[in-house]
Amino acid sequence: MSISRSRRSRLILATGLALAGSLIFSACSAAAPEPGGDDSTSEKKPLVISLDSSVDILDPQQYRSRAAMVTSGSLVEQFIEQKYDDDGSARVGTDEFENALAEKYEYSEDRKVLTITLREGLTFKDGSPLTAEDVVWSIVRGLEGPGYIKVLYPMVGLTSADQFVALDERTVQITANFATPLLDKMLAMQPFGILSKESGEEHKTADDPWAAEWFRENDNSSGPYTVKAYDPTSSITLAPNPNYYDQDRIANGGVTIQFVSDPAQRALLLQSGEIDLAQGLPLDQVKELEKVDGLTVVSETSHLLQFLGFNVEMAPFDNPAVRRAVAQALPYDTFISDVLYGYARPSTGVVPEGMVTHDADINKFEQNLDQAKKTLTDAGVAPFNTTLSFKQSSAVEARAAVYIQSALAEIGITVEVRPLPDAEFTQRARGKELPMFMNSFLGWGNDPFYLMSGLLSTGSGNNFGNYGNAELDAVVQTGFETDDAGERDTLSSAAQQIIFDETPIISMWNPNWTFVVRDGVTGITKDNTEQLRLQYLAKK
Amino acid sequence: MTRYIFRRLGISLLTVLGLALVVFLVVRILPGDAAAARLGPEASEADIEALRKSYGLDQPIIVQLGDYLLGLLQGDLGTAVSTGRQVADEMFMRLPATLELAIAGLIVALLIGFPLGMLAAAYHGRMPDGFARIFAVIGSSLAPVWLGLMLIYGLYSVAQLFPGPVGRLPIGMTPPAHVTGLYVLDGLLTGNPESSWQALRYLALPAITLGLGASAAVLKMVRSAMIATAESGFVRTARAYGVPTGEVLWRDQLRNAMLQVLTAIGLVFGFLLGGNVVVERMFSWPGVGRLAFDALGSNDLELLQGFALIVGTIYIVLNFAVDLVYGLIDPRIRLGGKAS
Repeated sequence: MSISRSRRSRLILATGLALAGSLIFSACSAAAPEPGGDDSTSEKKPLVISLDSSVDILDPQQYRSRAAMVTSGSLVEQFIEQKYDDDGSARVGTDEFENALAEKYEYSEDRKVLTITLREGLTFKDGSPLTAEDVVWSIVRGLEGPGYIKVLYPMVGLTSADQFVALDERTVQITANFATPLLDKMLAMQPFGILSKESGEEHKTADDPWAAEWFRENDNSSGPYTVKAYDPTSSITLAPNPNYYDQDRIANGGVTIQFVSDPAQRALLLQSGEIDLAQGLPLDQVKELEKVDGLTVVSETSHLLQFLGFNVEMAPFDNPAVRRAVAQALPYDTFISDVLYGYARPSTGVVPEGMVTHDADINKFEQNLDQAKKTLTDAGVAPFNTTLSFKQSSAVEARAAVYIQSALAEIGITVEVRPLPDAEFTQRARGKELPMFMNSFLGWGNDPFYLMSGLLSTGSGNNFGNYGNAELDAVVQTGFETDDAGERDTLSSAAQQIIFDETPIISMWNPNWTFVVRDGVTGITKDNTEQLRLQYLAKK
Repeated sequence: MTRYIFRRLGISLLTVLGLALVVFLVVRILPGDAAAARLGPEASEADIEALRKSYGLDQPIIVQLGDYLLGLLQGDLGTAVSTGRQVADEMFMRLPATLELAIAGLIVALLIGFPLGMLAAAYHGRMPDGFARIFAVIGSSLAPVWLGLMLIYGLYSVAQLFPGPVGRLPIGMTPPAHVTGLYVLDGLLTGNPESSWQALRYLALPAITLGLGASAAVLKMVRSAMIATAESGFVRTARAYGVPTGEVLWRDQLRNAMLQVLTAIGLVFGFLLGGNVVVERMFSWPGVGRLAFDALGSNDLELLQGFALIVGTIYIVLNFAVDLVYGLIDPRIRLGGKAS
């Protein structure tokens, strides 16, 4: 059969039009399946959420993104769990703890030896028993393995594998070099969750003795969830772990984390009801969403510290008076109202109000341009030029930079605002190349000594300003090694005073921990790493 | 023809080698330390150095280049510093999504650009031509980021006609069994038409965003090529003999304009493959463009190399294919000018 050329051309055109039509028609037709699939009818409802990043790695000791920390933390359980306050719009972790995998845990009289007895009959997802050997293997893996949580161990006096011993099937003994309340806090963090030694042994290789490759994309959960489906490019679906020790702690029927990279689209999906909770939305958008029916903004105070740092070995910031003058010029209230739309509180010092040992008697900086000018004049410093660097991914810092530039111009400091790609910022900050920079830092475990040590101890990884003060180092280290609450208060006050006097950084604000949720979503829970705990989320 | 094919193949291989060299050198000019970025500020210098060493980043650049080229010959594109996975795995996990989007975008571009270009040529200098030219100017000026936002806002958020920007399938839906990685096709091949249907729905908006802008380029090329052939002797002769206008348009003008049009299609497809970074991010489309965007943020040189190399190689293969089709369409090319 032959078809004329003109007829064949018309056929091709018709086929093309049909394809285009189907593309458009298909898009406009029948609604998508209910999120969460066939679980939606169960009593505990599944949720769909979208966080500020995608889940890159499932290993709680190797994760990179915040979403991965939340996810991997749901695939492991710790000995102990924080207790939470229900007073505000969210449940917030306290400094008190309760047993999780542990049936009991006891300290020796000098509080250096911790003996943990596991509950009876604990199992991993695959049904294999969870024993003291798994606990020791997991903690030693943290110390010697592929992750970077090993930096936390010395803070609680743990430096070698022989400090962890399995006494029998259910009993573990941890012997620390010194007594510290930070040990409880750390053991309650997700990176200290228990992994399966058997899975690790099964999948280890000569080049990978801790099975880093396997744990990166697989789980044998000891936590409240197991991985139901994981596509590193688009989403992860977590289902309740049937072998979890306490099913009552899981308040939902599972959680899907959808990776939506553009925050504006995340907000639209929330408004349309496709997702139940969104994190990482631009704050101006959050403000607008407050007015939208069906949505609730959950915004809790946080201990995350946003600061302006200086390289104290670079002139003119090697002069404490110059740093103090900058601190006196910053528009702290404007930051809160115009940069953070009210979703933050002005900084109350390096150790924020609400964190143990915060000293309210230590002075705070307030904007006083006349005083700032006088401070500079008294120091004999002529007007100068400098740069202000920050990560270009941070819209908040970009906005704050403009206000800082404007305020410092008033006292004769000309600032060139310099947003840097994140990796370049990290590299140059680590190389101590930035004269003035913005950054943020969270002291895990709600611990003041962790916070001050991480930021300002000599040689610390986050001490981008080359600051070094032997007195501060000694006070902070003593604080780490002190268990007495009164003595910790005294030491912390001394450290806070040194930091105020020398002003190696300026605490600018503490941004709130902010989520937007659909009405009916409850149980938003912030732990002491300021991460969301998925198992407490519920949906009416 | 065989000589022609081998000559084109040789040129293509040399271009791939050149591309590999350029990509390798360019990504090393970028500032930032991928190892430090991966481990974070808490990591010690020793850990960062160890990671650098394990990825060969501590070696002199010439040694790194040698290792890189040797690895390429073995199909090893290196390890992504930011995720620890093989770059080839990362790329091939996402390439089907990008290909599916680029193909759909090309279909949209052709379906709009081709008929409008032909219409403009057929009515050259008259009102339809004017409309087509205005469309081309608007289409060329539309930034995908603006167009995408408007489409999402208008057609998803307000009108609720299209599904939301959550990727390739509805939230919670299991993808069809893997055959090609193109969900629309895989759904049909594995007897799962619902997957194909949903994949088409989620493909629609990003494909229109990509295709609408590209359609302007197709339109302009079809129009100018067909106007040029309209002036040729064989078209005038056909008309003088009374051949119907439609037949002259389809058989004589279009076929003879195809060489230039094919070039345009090759260019447009290459643009759709490599230039959809913004669209993929906006629609949460899990393709290589979004991966490249993230890699840029984390300064993952290995991933950036992989992206540039694979997209560039696809572009070269595409051009090679277009060259072959030239040969089929125009005997003067395959015979090296002997036919004339």
